[in-house]
Amino acid sequence: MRPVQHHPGFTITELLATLILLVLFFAAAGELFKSTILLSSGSQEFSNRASQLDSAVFQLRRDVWNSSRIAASPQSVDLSWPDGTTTAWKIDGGSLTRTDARGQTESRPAVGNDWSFSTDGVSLTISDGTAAPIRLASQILLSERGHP
Amino acid sequence: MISRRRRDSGFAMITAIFLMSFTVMTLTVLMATIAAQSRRSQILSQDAQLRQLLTAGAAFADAKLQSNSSGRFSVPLPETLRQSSADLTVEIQPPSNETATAEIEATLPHHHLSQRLSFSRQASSWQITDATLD
Repeated sequence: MRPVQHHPGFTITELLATLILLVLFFAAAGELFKSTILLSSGSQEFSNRASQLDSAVFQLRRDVWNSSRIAASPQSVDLSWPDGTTTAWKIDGGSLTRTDARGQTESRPAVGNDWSFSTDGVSLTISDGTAAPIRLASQILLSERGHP
Repeated sequence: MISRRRRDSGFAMITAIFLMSFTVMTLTVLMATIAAQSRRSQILSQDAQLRQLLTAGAAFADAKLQSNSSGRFSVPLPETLRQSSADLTVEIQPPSNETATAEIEATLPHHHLSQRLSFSRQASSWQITDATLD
């Protein structure tokens, strides 16, 4: 009769503990991987959006800076320049549109969705309901206010 | 027995490297985003300061023109701005009877902004008729 061979092995408790640890590890690794991917894409999207926003505000500020009259409604603003031409900004259909004196239109999608315009006569205020409003001043109108 | 222990160590090492890689990637992206936003905030803050200086420079140029002065002027600034190496210069071209121009330049370390103002005489005073931000 052959002697019984003893193969080294694991108890069911050891296997269960190992399985639980593996499940926990893969769950943590999966979450970490998901966070990495989401953060990466979210960061890129945020950066693009900030860039588009800065570009729109930069252009709008230049327009307001040299304007001799500001006419604003919550969704649009007309800026008259000293040479008699007018540049119009409008929030329409989820995009911000600029139309210059020659009729050329430049649209910025996904910018200005939550904006609203107002004016006190010398500056244009942009409110988005969350952050502090952005105030863009006109040098010409400021000067006129100094010389009543 | 020895070979099995080695296999276990390898598995633990690989899993640890994976987890650490994910963590490093996440931290890198996070730090890059924070750094970019910090730079953006600083630039926007300096831009706002420079525009304030340009507005002050416009008022200064206006006052000088009303007293028929021309030339290059360094506008005196508050102590806090001087400490941060801010500078504001106004250069008024000798005016003609009806028009005048002024160049205003505001400077902060590594950053500057300027504008050109056109004035016209209306009644007895000068009025800004054009302001171009450079």
